[in-house]
Amino acid sequence: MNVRAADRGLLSRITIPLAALVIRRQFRAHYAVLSRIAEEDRRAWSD
Amino acid sequence: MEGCYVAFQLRLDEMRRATTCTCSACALIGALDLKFVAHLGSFVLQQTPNGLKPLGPDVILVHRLLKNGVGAVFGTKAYAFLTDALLERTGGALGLPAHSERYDDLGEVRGRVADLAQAVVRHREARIYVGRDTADLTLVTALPVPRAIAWEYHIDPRKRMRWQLDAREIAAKPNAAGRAGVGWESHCDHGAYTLVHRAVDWRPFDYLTSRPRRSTAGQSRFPGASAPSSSVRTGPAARWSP
Repeated sequence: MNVRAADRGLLSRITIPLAALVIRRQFRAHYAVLSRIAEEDRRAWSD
Repeated sequence: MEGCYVAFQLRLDEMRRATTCTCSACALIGALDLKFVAHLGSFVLQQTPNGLKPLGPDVILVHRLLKNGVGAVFGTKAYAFLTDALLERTGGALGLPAHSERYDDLGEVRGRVADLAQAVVRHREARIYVGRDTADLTLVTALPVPRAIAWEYHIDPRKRMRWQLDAREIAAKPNAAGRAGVGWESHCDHGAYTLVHRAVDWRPFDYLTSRPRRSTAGQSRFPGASAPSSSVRTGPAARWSP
């Protein structure tokens, strides 16, 4: 997943890295769950 | 006409992807094509049992023009032949190449030809894609499923609810044409705020690019990057193994 801020205002050099930190943490958790679910589904389908 | 033809081709793409049927009709979906003939002239309307019907020499001319040599000359089955009579009224030659047809009873008909296949090529090249080199944030996750399944995990609200655990409710709304594609929206209810993302580029099963259409408190939670464009990639760069 690639994310790019559409709004590159005056404070973007500060706010975008901060926001990226939050989004990265949030989506890392999401994708950890997705990886687990995908593996579970794959095993279920192959049974 | 170009917009109509592009929509037609995109629909064919969807139909090809959606069917595994091997009957001759489905197998020949890819062979379907469209041509347009547009002319400006006079006619009279005659009432028939099936409704009003245009009549006159110009109507006959348009029907004759449907059988022409454009395909042989320009090497394409997808084209619009616009007669000079029409173009004189609508703004000139539009930079299109000239072509003429001759009929024994109607004489020479001059016009211009638009290659509609090129319109589809231009549409396909008009991508909105966030590459790694321009992204503010990149996440790479390996998923042990085929691309089509990975795509479904990102599109199907029921599947998304299984892994986006902070969402109270996720809904997907089709675009104005009633389909999943550009204009499709994801409504993600997080309780205190709702994020609405609209697809601006839709390339199953390669990537999806979306932009926030509107959001509430989400704007203040993610200042600066409150309006991210995101590409969910299923390609090799995302290392989602087949």
